[in-house]
Amino acid sequence: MSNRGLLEQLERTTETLSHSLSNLIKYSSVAKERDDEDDGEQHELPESTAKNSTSGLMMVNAQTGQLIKGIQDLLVMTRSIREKWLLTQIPDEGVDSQPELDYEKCSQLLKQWTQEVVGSEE
Amino acid sequence: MAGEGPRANGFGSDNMYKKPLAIDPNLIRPAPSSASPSADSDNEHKSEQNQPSTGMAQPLVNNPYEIFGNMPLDQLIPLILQSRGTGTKFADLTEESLMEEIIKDDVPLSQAQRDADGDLDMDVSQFANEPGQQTPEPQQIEGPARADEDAALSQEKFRQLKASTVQSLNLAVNESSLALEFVSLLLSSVRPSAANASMSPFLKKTVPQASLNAEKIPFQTPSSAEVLDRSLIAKGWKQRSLEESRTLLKDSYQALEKSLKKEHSYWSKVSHNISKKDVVFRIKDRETGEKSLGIKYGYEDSGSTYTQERGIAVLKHNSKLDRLELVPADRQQANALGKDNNEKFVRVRIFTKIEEEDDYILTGESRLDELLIPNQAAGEEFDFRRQISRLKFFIFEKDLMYQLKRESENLISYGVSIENENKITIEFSTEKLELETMPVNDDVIMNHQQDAPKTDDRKATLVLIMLRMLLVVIYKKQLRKKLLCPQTSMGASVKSPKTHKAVGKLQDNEVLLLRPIIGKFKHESYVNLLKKIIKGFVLDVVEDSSVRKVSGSSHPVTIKNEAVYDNHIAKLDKEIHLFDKILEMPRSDLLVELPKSGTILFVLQSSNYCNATTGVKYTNGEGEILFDTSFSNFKELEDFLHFIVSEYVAGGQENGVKDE
Repeated sequence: MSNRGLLEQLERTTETLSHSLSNLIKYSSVAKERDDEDDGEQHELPESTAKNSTSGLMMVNAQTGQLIKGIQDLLVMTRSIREKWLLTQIPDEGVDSQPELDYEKCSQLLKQWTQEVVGSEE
Repeated sequence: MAGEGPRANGFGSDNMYKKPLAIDPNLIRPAPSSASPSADSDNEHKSEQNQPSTGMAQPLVNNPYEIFGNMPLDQLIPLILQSRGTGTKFADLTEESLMEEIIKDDVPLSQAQRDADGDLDMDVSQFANEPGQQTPEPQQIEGPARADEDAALSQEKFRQLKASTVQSLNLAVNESSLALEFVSLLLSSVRPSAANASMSPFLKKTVPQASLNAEKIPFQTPSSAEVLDRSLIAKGWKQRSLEESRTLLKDSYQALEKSLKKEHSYWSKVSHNISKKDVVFRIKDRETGEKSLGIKYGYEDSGSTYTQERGIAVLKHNSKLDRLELVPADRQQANALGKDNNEKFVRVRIFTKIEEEDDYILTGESRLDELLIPNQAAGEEFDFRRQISRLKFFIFEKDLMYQLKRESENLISYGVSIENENKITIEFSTEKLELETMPVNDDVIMNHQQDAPKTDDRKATLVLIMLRMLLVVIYKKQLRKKLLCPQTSMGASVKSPKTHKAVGKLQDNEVLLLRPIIGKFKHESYVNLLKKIIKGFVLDVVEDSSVRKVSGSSHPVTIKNEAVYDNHIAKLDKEIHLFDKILEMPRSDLLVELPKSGTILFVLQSSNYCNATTGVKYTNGEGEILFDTSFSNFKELEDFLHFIVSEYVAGGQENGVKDE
């Protein structure tokens, strides 16, 4: 995935995360202050009934799930970023290349090999 | 009959309701009850046709037409027939005959109308109110429209269909009107005016208004206790759901943290252990099916043509030991097949011949690579690199053995034999070389470590090292070939145009591992033999003669002005050329100088590393080349030398002496 795509995804995920977190907080109130008010008023507020109703519970559940999923998405993203980092590593020409062979020494060694193994002197 | 009845009624209405009833409604009751419609009913009929409108209609509280309308056809037709007397057929009834009958009955009816005016009126009003009676009219209109279908449908069938349709309609109308009546009646107690409007006159008459009532249930506001209770329940639910969500979050947090830690340590190890030179790629772990990372440890990219093993390993994180592990992809399969211990290394042993016993004793064994010796002291980081090194080592050894065996196949005439899958022996005149792949196990390593050092250990090790280096040279040649002509490198049979001159006619892709080494050994023994022959046939015979080695002039080692490639190829070339000395065909030039009688130049060389041909060039004292020939058999050479020496040199010397 391109950097741009990753950034966009990050944006989206954080957006969902904050959204679901705020929603979760909103729906998680047990509406105490409303209970202190008039009961009749509570019935007229669809919001508060929703909060205490099953749909409110479901919302809490759904938001929790979304929160978890968002975080998992983030983790997956970090994984893919790391993979990208690892897989796109290219050895640097100058720094990583092998030290230049000492050809003289090598040929010397090879000569020595011949002498030792075969026992002949060139 | 629903069609028939209404038609009769409709006809009646046309005639100012003079005869509203086609059949006597009273018949409905007697018909089912009477065991058999008696013949005297015929008599009754004549009077009954008039009577119902006068007196008999009185006891009927409900609307008789409704009953007729609701009656199924199979009941109604017998009723009509019954009313008309036995012997009449329903098919005989025609409109005309009915008309005639009505006209006949006209007079008594008018009387009756006068007598029971009110009743008749009521009938008329009911008649108008009766929905069942009104619906047939549109059907009569529909009648001709369907006439076309009559041709296809039988008359009877059409009638049946029509009747059932009308019947269903009537039923629906009746039901709805009943429901309307019920609601109106129920409403009449609360809203009389509205109810009045929708009540049928019949209902108004028969049932008093507001006679049906129902209790109204008021909406109860919940008591404070109830409200409290409900909110408590709601809060309880809420609390529970929050609790669930909390545990869910906590659990997943813990799980994620765990995997995050694992991941973190995995990646930190990866970044620590894997350098940029490692070939890393994505791979699917066949065991677990997970996506994973793989490392290539095979030498395929370096020019190896070994294909028996893929040379890739899955990079795994062992969470128990918290370290990285490499699991070769092939080993997974091998384990599945039940073979294990893929780790084998090549060992070189040198046996020296005992002259008198014609037997060999072990005089040298190659050193164990330190990778094979378990190293407990090594740290964790080292451990992983060591795994990679070991994998690389083993695949290289396997490759080496594979290539050695390939090469040995053609060398059987030179004392090279493949004893078994894992062993190659090469026999020389005084010693024997044994190349063997050994499985890595503790015994082998222990034995080796305990063995006393032997005289030829170093030589064996050197041979092994040279074999490995030569394999690398083969890789490099392959690589160079790939770089130079990528399109043809795939086919190994394609001849590379860039064979190096020093290597002569040999192809780049030819395996050259054993032959250079064997050639060196053999050549050395050939040289010794040649020297012995020279000594025996020349030096010992000719006084003051000497032999010396001259360097051969025909070794074009210099890199000629080849086209300028990129650095990599130039580097490869350089590295390959380093080994030209080893890879070149062995050649020794021996110059025997004969005082006053010229020189004999012996050129000992080989066409395939293993054989030997000796070129002999005799130049006499005057610089003339008298003989220039070559032998592949030393016996012939001996004879030839003997001939030269005796004929020319010895003779020449004698001549010279004589000359002096």
